Amino acid sequence: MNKSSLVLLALLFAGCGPWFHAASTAPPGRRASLDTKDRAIELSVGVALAFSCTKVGPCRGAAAVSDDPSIAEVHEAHLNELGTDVWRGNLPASTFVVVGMSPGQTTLRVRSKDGDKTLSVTVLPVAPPTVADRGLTDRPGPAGDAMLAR
Amino acid sequence: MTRSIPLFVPPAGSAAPGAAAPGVTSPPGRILRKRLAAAALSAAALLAGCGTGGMGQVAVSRECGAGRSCDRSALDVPIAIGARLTPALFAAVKGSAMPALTMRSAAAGVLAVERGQLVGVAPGASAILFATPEGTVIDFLHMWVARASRLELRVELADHTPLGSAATSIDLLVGDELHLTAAVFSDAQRLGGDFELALESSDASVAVLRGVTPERRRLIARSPGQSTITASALGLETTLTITVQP
Repeated sequence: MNKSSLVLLALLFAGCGPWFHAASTAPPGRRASLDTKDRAIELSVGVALAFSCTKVGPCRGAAAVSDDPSIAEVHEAHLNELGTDVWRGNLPASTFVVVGMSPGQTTLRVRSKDGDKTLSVTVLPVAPPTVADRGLTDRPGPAGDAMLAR
Repeated sequence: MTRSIPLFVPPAGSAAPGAAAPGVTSPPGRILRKRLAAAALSAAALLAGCGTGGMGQVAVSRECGAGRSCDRSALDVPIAIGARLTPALFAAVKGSAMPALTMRSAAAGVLAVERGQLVGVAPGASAILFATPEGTVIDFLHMWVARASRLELRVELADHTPLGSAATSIDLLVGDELHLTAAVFSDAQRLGGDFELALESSDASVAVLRGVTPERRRLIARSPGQSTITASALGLETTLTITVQP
């Protein structure tokens, strides 16, 4: 392999990961999503989303900060599971929780031994009340999310 | 006859606790064990009327004394504005007991945290973060707050066994006792949380005594006569007529 191929390979690896994946869901009528490809998070105000940082396995020594904590806070989280790194074996999951504090846009900066990345965060205002907000009516919904009891 | 139909929604975030995120691989046996443990935690949480955190590691229920009727304060219903709830936290972190946890609200204007209690402030939803004193989040739970629109009186036995909704007119004999609590609703949805129930008797034939908990009152038929009992809580009112027979 010649020198230019090595440089190209290094550049390719440099552009790969870390990757971020959502690890929780939104409550009914609210938004909480993470687009792994675009590294974009959408959250409703008052909603929290857990996400993991991985490269070959869990990110090592990862830390995250928010450019504007008044819009979105980010916290280190403990997720009780191991991820497999093909080189290093089982490592503890690298997880964070982002919380929508007020409407707006900001950036999360994640630093780790596996590389540094940014994620854009859009915090959405609370939408008009949905069926779930107004109080579910008199029968279970088709999604089976509600049950009746006397 | 109308009948109240409380609605319960399975705890948010209980669908995939402990599942490996895409890109995080785990041996199949470990995934199965974690899913089974998470499913067991969710099932126990649902049966107990409590919530499971979005990360599947903390189950939250209402702190509840022995024998005390806790059904109206479960965490799988919205908390009424003005009501308070003291949560009890149970960990499902393998290999570790629950560390000391602090609670923090993502939207304190909706659901506030005051001295370890959750207080309904305004309609909406808020995540409650459960974190170690150092700030590491162990789990979170999205909770809802709603405005109560209806107050309903409930009858209990002395041992707190709930008997159901109180009739609008009740006959008692001198010396009889009646234990009353209250439930609040937003449309069809029963709301949770503790709140103070105030009862006033229009006539000396029925005495109202404070109960051992703020939401419970004891009525005693003292002498023949008729009394209108006015109940108020969270800005709502309802009445009950009690006739004491000689």
